[in-house]
Amino acid sequence: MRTGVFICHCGLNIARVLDVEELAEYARSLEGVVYSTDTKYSCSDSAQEEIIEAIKEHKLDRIVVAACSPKLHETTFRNAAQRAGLNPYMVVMANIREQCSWVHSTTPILAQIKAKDLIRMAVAKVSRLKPLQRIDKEVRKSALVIGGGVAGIEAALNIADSGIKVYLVEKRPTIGGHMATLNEVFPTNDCSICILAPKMSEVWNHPNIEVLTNAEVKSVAGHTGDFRVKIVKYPRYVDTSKCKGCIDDCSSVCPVEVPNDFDYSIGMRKAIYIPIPQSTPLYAAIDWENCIGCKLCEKACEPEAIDFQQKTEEIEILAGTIIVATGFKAFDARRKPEYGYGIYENVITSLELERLLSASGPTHGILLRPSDSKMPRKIAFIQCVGSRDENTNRYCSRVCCMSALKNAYTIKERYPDSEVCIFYIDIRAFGRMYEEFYRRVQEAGVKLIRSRVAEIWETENSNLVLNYENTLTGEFEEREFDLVVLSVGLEPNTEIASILGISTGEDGFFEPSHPKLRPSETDVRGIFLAGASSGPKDIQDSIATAGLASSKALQMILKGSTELDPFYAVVDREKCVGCGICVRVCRFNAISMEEKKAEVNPSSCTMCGVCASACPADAIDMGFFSDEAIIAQIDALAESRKIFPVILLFACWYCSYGAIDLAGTFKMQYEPNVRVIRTLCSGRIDPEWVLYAIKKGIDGVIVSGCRIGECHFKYGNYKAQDRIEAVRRALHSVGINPERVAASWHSAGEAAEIVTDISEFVNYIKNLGPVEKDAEKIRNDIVKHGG
Amino acid sequence: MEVRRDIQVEGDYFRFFQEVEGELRELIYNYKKCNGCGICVYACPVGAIELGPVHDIALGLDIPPVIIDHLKCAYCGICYSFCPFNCYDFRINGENIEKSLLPISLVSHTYKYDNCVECTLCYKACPTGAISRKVLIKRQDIPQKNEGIEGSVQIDSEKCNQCGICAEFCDVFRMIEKDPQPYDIKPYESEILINDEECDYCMLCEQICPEKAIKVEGKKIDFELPEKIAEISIDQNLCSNCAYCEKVCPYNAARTIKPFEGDLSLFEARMYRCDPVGCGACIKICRYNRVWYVSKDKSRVEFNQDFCIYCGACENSCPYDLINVERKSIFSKELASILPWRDSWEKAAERVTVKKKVVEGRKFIIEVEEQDLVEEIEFIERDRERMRAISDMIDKIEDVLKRPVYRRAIETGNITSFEKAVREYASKKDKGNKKQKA
Repeated sequence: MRTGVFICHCGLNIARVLDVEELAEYARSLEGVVYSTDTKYSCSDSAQEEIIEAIKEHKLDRIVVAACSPKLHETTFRNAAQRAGLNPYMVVMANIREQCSWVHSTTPILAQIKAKDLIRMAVAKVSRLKPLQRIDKEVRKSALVIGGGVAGIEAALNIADSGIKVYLVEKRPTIGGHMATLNEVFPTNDCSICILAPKMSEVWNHPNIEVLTNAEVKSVAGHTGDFRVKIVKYPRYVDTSKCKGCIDDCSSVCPVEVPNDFDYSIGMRKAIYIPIPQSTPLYAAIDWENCIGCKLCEKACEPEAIDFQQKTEEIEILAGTIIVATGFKAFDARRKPEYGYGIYENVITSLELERLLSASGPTHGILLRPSDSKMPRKIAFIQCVGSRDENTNRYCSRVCCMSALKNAYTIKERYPDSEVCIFYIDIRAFGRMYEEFYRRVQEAGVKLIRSRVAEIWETENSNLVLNYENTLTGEFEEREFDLVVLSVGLEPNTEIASILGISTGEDGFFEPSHPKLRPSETDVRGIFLAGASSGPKDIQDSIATAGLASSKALQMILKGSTELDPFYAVVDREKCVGCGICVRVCRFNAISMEEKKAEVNPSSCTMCGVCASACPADAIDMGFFSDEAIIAQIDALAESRKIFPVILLFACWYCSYGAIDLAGTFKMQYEPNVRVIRTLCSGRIDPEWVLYAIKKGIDGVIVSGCRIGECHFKYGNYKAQDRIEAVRRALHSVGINPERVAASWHSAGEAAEIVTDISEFVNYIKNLGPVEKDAEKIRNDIVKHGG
Repeated sequence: MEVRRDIQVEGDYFRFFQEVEGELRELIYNYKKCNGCGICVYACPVGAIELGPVHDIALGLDIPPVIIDHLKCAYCGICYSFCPFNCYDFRINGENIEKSLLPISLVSHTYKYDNCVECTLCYKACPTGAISRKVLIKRQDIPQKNEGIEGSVQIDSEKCNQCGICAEFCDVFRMIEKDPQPYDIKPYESEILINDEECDYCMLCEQICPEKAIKVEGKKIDFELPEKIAEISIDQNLCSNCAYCEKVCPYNAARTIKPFEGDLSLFEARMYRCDPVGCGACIKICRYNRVWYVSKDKSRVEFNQDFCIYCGACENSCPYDLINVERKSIFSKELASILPWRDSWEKAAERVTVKKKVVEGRKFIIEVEEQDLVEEIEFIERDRERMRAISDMIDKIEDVLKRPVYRRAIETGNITSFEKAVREYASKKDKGNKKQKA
């Protein structure tokens, strides 16, 4: 075994807190490590070349890169390994930036210890990995997707996954669209960005998708099956090959502060910025409309990523089909002056409210009103602002009722004392589970007032008085509120119509060629509509239409194939005892019994790992997240447990790992005692691992995953919940304090919440004492039970 | 990277500076020169400049008309570039940056045309002292003199335009000076005094009068006058582009290019509030352009728009909001090369024109706890003996987990049955376990 370890400085992002050279030195002492070095920016092209050189020169058969989150650069290093002739899955990253230097900057000594633990664990893991094969297939044809919102992303992925080259053109510096800025989505109230961010990064890392941000379609020539599209790519003034996405260095010195359009102008940002923490790509961008050319960022950026020499580029691409996913524009509430938006500070729009409720928004998720930064107690929602209105738009915007109900519910849930009223014309809760949600909101105490609001005026203390006609009693009434939210409608975003040569309807949205039979096709063969470009749609419908548009597009293109991470479950027939538990727990029908042995169908397997962690015989394993590798990580951690307490945290890739990363991005400081082991799903977390960790002297274990009910694999975290309960009861039965095992269920946006959980748990375990302290109790219990 | 920003006050000058990685940017503001027009306040892209109490300043309060936040300042030079009165200087590493080298700069200029006769009117009328007249020769400097001859000097008032050349050439003539007023910018009374006693009737004045309005009876002395007896020059730095020179010049030899076009008006319906004697702030603040004056009946102020450059200082100074300065267009020069930040400079020009400050947006006040570098580390000796006891117990649970029947119980939600099994196992001796493993 010849392991190489590369420790990244990330400029000063890591090196400011950690002694990187010492870490490299330390790594050299670990078993199997034959080469170890530190590198300034491991993701830079030159550093990648150095890694490749080192692999060849030292005949490395596996590598560990201790740098940022694998969410950022795992693909980068896998590709580098592949270029060096190594199997791409023989790479493990130790996340010493998001999980260490950024979050433990006030405790550098403990951070250094943690970094060593993380590196040791990664080295242990990589030593147990086996090469995996991904399937590569040729791609010939291509598609263009215009608009990087949820519909565009879905369509792009659908097509790209079929092996077709996709160009995704997005006007703004990040993909994600409106959905990326929403707090939660109805009717499940799950975190919006958490379900979108994995798709965003999938798009960015997809070998078949070329994402063009800051770009617009300028002209379209050619014809069906052979469109020649000219795209204008505006300069970002940041060299993406050098930018590390650290953003603090440059933006903190930028003197220009402007309203952040990604916060719908309710928050502020600098002229050099990353729109949202989950921006994809995660590179800084300079907003050329506001930059004044002071060049401070240029001086502050150590990797010299600022490049004012960049020019607007014109690119020509060839696309077989085009999918239009330009989405919508929010109605400008200033066009309804009677509601005082833009005049009264405490009248905000529903989209601004989303940002105020979002953890990554300007208030970090605390609901504050703009005039005095105080928490509003009485909140009014006014419906149909810019919809169902003779003076503005006649149509119904379809999402505002549910969005208001959802936000009202969230407010009521977070601040039970608050008084929330929705002033509505009709509530249209037409989707599946919508009516039920509407009921739930009513039961939560949200007041619904059927009315027409005539006018709003402001009192001296910036409160707002609503004057409205109660359309049930027919009476005019007045009521005072602290904050008024206008549920703004959706308006067409169809400026590109003339370039594409497709038509728009009376309402301004793109017109499908048949409203019922061909809802995603246009009059131009080969151009399809996805999402809200063809009329207001919620996320469910956007995804559905994106699916339709992409499958229609695919019909026209020859089908290729794609690459998959080969993390599916594998059964060891020798070990399998034929108990059939796995068949029972797999909800994706990927496992069947063949000749009394379980067999997994790789193409149906979603890679959640629920079966592997249910197998009593350890006969099911998974690539990259194998039992052996995880046990090795636990062993490595237990090997040197000098500090107290040592806490192990299992995190799922889609939510809790993201939340911990986000805490890193926000530089939230928390207890440096926790070490993270990642899995794809909390359902993969084997109860045996938890027990093994305790056995090895880990003082406490946290099992974390998505919020209950929001699992990426539908039910993985329910499984995890049951298993933790079983482990806790078993520990109790043998006299070990069950509180040493805890659960934490958070969405990828809930950085503050997961950090609070971690810190509280660490403090709890501190009081409890080291795990071996429980041994006394065991002895007593055994005596009590009569031995 | 450390960015150091600070401020120094030296007499009438405020020196704001930014030091970063060996680059020094300085913005120097001469507050005595500033009239509080507020153009820089609109131009500033970061909202670092605030307008002071211009009314009080007009009436004599000695404080800077604009207040600059040296920490917010971006040291970009936009304020300097748009200031019509040159109250700022902008230096990078000690070197003065010319306005024309910035992405966009105001254009204003006062031209002196070739047909200028170098008379005295413009320089006497100029409110800012930007025009100077250098006298190259005076009669009294010429030694030749007529001795004891009789004669007479007469000025043809039909022809004379009171240009004042004769008076600055020869002490025999004297102009009666008066303060130019917006309604009458002539610097002299129409009468010219002639002191016959001093005169030697040399007739040189006949030559220098551009209008041939002087008639002398006497004897020409033997002296050739040079081509130019005086020279007018304009200091563009001091010039306020008021156009007094342009208006006063009888030869159309002066022309001023104003940086703005616009319209100046009064809210007539509210003019009863105007107090030109007690207040007169507009008159006082408009010291460079002298647009304002007290009406004949002393009841209100009036203006002469010819001299206005629409800077807006009067509007800022009026305590009753009676004045409206509307800018319609801005005359600016753009750098030929297109820089990435050209848009934001154009936006600054747009803000100056429409008199809008940069949007500062909503800021929430969120309490952030200060982080101290506290590090309490607890290193402990681990107890191997006790750890073994823990390990033994866990082994027992693991054994139960290995049995499909209990594993199935967990997976189907029957945790109690699993728990019971663990309890039983835990109380058993080790031999049972060994059997299970086999």
